[in-house]
Amino acid sequence: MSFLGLGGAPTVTSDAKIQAAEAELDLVTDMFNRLVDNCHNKCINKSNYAEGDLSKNESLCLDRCVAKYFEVNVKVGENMQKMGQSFAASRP
Amino acid sequence: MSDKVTNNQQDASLKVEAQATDIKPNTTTTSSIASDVAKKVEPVKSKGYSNPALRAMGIPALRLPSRNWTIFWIVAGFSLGGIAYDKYEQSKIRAKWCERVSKYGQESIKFNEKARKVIVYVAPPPNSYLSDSMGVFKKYIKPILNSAGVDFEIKSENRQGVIRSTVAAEIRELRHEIIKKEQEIHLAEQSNTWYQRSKKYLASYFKKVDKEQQEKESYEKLKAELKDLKNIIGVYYKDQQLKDTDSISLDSEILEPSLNGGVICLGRGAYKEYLHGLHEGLLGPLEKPLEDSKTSEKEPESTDKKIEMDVKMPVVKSIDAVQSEKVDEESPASEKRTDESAKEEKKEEEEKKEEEKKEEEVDENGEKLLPIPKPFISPEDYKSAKFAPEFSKYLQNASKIPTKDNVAPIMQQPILVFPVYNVVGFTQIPKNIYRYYTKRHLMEEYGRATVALVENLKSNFKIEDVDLCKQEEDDWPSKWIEKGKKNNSEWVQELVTDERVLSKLWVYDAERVK
Repeated sequence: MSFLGLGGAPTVTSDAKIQAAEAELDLVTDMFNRLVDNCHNKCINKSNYAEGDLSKNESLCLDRCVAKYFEVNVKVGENMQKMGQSFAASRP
Repeated sequence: MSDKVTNNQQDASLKVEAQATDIKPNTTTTSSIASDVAKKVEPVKSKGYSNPALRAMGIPALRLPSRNWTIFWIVAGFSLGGIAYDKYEQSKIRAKWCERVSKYGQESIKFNEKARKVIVYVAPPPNSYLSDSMGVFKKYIKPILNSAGVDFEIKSENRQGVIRSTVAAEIRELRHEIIKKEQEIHLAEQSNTWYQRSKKYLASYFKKVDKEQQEKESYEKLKAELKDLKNIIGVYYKDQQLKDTDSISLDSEILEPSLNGGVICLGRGAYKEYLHGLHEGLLGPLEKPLEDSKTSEKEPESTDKKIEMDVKMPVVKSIDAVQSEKVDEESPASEKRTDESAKEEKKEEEEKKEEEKKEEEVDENGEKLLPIPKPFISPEDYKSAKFAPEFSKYLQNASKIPTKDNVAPIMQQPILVFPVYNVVGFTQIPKNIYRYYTKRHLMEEYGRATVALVENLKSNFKIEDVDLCKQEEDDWPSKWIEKGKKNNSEWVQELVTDERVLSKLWVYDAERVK
């Protein structure tokens, strides 16, 4: 996921690197925020804030929510990639 | 009512009925006769029941429907009512068990703690699909686990032998880890003598400072840091202490190994395979035993093969060169061949062709099914085998065998077995109907067992526990069993066990649930 993790383009200029890093940071932060919002809405019962600690049920729910979110993300990304490829291939 | 009807009327109504049943639709000859007859005689209408009180309230005379309709409503009422009653009772019992364990689920847990995790081994019933067993799990067991805040991981199989081989591979990997650690400790001790230490000091003193190496190292460090998202987002990035706290499992703090985790086996087949896997891992060799040189000649090269499982699970690589054997768990590989060379060559060709054919096996996703490794040790050799020496010192102290996350390994976790009743066939329809109407008993039984798991009510493994859920085998179709015996399949074989392994196991005891 990290831009430096590709390690396959040593000739990229530092400017481009910084821009790529910024873009990636934006993406990651955006995904993180969405994830937190979604999972909070789904897992935590807003009508009962009697305790500050998470219960075991909520904690497990959050784990599963995050896992599902990432899986959905990955699957949708793959499908979009396929769509994009077929779109690019069909274009003359 | 027929007594009150006069003879004439009786004859007339009988005549009408007789003619009505004889009449077939779309026949022009008799239909006109029928309509004539119908006009003359009207069907008898019962007078119904009334009394002055009802009449005063304005309620009309109460009438029962005709005999046929009565029969219909009684039959329909009982069948639908039975279903409704069963479902209602099921939900009541489910709610009862879920409520009993809900207090465990509402306990608080820190952000870096992981809840107790139970491993579920699921196998499909014979001649049927995995969804049957999964249905049992989802309906009866999962609600209670979810209410209790117990995490679970499902490891399923679609062919025989997958559970056994993965369990055995896990145990073998654990043994390897322990050996490696002990070797490392040994090496560290050796190199800690004063002579070695002084040598190291001198070497570092005279080492050339390699600038390039340093840059590369700092680059790698930066890379690693960025990979860890805690450094850039969330509440973490300002708080070093939060960043440093690693996630731990609640089970790791529990010292008693049999209070860690838990293993659920869904189905007698899964249970048999699990026990066999334990025996194979604990009593079997660490390396794959070489078969005769003949088979080893055939194989091109050694490749690490993963064992396919349906659901996400940590992939356990078979540690040694897995020979690409025939993907045929049905026919036992004939290892002993004392034919002459000409015959051998012919057989080689035949087998190669068979192998090619078998290797074309694909699963539902179109991915190639990898062969299931054969057991490293066969049940006859259990008695003469040595119990895993790496574990002996931990088991003597009754302490947890060390694993990566400090949770006791599966062989120290207690076992819970559920039967999966599934009987197929036309002659079994009455049995199935009866079972469909009495699922509340299953809910009660399965729920009680699951609560025993949640509340850690365990007992030592007794020799009779080898036959847990043996009644499920009555459901197995006899033809399937015969075919399995012919092909030497795993599920139909007798469950051969060794006392040394069984004495270390635990079982969850449903009878201890009050």
